[in-house]
Amino acid sequence: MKDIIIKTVAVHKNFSGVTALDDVNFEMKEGEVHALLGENGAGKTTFVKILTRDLREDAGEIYLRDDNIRGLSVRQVQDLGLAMVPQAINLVEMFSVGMNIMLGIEPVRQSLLNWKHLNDEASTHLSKITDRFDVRRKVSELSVAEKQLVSVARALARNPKVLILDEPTASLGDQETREFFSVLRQLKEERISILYISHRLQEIFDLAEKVTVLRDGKKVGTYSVSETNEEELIRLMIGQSLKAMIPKKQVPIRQERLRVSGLHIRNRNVRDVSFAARYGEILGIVGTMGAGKSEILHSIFGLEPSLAGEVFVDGKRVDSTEPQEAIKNGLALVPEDRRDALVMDTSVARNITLANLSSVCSFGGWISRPMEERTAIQYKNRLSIATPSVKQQVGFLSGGNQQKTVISRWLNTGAKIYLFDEPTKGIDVGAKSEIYELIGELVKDGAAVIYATNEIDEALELCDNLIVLHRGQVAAELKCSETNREELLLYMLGGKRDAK
Amino acid sequence: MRNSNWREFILTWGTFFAFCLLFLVFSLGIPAFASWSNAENIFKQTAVLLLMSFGLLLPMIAGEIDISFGGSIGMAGALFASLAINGQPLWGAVVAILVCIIFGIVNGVFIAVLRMHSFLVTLATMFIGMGAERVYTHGFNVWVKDLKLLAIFNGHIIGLPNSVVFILASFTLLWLWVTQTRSGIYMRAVGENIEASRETGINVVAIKILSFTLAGLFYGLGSILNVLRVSGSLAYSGQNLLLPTMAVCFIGATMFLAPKKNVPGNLVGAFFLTLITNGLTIFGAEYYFIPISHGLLLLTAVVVANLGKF
Repeated sequence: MKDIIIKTVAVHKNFSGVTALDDVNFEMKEGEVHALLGENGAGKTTFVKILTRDLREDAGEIYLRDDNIRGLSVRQVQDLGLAMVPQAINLVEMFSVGMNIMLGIEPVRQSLLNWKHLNDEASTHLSKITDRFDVRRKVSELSVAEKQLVSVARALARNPKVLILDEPTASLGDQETREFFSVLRQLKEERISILYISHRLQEIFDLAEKVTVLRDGKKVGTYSVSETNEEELIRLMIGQSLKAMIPKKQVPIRQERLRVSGLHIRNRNVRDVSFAARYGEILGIVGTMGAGKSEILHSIFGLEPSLAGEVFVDGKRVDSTEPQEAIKNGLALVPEDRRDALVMDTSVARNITLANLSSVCSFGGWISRPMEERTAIQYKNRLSIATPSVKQQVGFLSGGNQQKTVISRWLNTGAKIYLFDEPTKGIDVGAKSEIYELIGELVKDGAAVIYATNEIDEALELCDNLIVLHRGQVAAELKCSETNREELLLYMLGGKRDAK
Repeated sequence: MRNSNWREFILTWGTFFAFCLLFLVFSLGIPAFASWSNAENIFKQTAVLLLMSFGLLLPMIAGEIDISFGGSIGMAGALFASLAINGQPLWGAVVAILVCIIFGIVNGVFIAVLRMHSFLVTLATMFIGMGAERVYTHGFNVWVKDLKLLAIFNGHIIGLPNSVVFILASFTLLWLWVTQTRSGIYMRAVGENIEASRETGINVVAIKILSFTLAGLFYGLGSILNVLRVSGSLAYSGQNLLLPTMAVCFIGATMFLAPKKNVPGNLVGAFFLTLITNGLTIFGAEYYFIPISHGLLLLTAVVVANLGKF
């Protein structure tokens, strides 16, 4: 009979009015590898941050063994044996690897640091994972994958009873992932309980015994891995199928609107990227995190300087070094992080008119409030932005409505080429389907849409054609009607057709 | 590869070599500069500037800024001077240091606990300190004439000027503390990556308050040395030290661990600034050229340190 090591009762968490976790009851047994599964924005990271006391819940009880840990600090929970490898790698770049591993628990002798002891102990923990670099190396000299390993060693150095891993393989290559899994198996032998967050299903079947699925902040259920399968898990994660959410579009694709040729971006590893988007087309740019999607969109819009490459709109070469020029040429960018696009403490109306203030200026260049509000109300109705008034601060709106405000802004500039960067990230299902509908309407009106995403199903359902990126280079150009998930995933992860 | 090594070299050593060059030029070019009595003068000025800049360095390492000492050290100096005149120099020293430490704790609580911007908080406390000094002294200077007391800073011990002893002692202690103790390392970790610090269970709030409190200790000591150096508490002495002290920290950050603020960098920075002031004054430059020279020095140092980025 195994003992319960983590138990939560009715944990609830709101972020400025948006529910992130809704009455989550969770149980995990000692020595178990338990996977936590869910889409982006399902609440996985919020949930584990509450377990580690990095975030405080609004309501609910949390137990580690028999201790109620509600009132404890990050440090106290660590001392009870809970360690976490967070999704974002947070290391002190200027310190050595050893110092980072032992940060917070460094050995001292007569109140001075005992460097020899510190490095020895750090070495012991690091050598469990890798022997490729020394603890005396500076962290800033390491690659992302190596930093990920340091982050794991830092958690192991705390001698945890429970180890929480938040997408630990996100920045590891295939070979490194395999090595990493053998480390996890070894930890499992040592009876360390592991809570493992991932959206790579294969990893779960390789490692875990139990899996808990979260969706829109709610727990869908906990299942034995041996009694479920990949298809069922996907259905549980997504709930409503994407197919039903994305309208089938009936727009003819016409002549070329935007062409990008030979794009190189310094320091970002983007090399020789070329593609074209046409009137009425939704062109997907897909790739894993860090493949260069955002950088390419930023560069086309003039936000990121490129080393080489040309941008053509309607066959004419245009200046792509300044956003003002891009806007004049009819381009619009909806960035990955809405905070990069909106002035959060300013009204919805001003956020909509911001990129084209002259459209609401009266004689002499004065901004006319009534004209501004009339314009904004027009878009509020057309896109059904849920806000009591267009004078409301945009920061109070939900993610989906903020996204619609950004799109309204570009409609108001008369943009004809839309660059979307993961626009459905972190917004709820209802808002998602509204965004898909809006994009459908944009292309119906003759716009060209470039849609960057790392979600395979979304890309396949929404787009006409796909550009697949791997490490900053075009790995494949695919027609959505002639490809499938497996082929797409293969190219995204750097595989070759022949190798299959 | 070769190119980047060269950049690295300039980034780390550029300001230091400029300092050595200036020292040579002054030594050879201005006869009155290269005398022992002038050297002692430089040590004294440097010691005061150095203690102030060591104070400011700590909140900066923890990722904050502190300008409150522009007010608090004037207040502390005036209290020390007037208690010394009344035959209580020891109490005067204790009170001066306590005043600066209390300023530090108040700053720290507002910034770390109430999460207010450090510039705004310390700007406000700086004004309060300035005002309190004026209420206390009515804007007059307070002169100290006790020669035995003045000898603590201006005298010698086994042939060394006491100011050099103060410089070496404070430098050694702070350097050891920042690089070899837990709290020193935590302060750097908090300033470099606050998320990493939280994840590893470091008490970020306590570390920030500690940085402002220890800063207060250095300001307090510095204000006492400043009174002993000029034989009194001069009105507006705080304001006059504020900007040069900030300059020392920024020049210091262009050396050794560049672009990070660091203890040895501050040591050279304090000497650098004093050297320019002293050399130009002896050379006969009008006093109003001094701030211009400081500005040019800071600008040059920052430009050189940023060459690595291009």
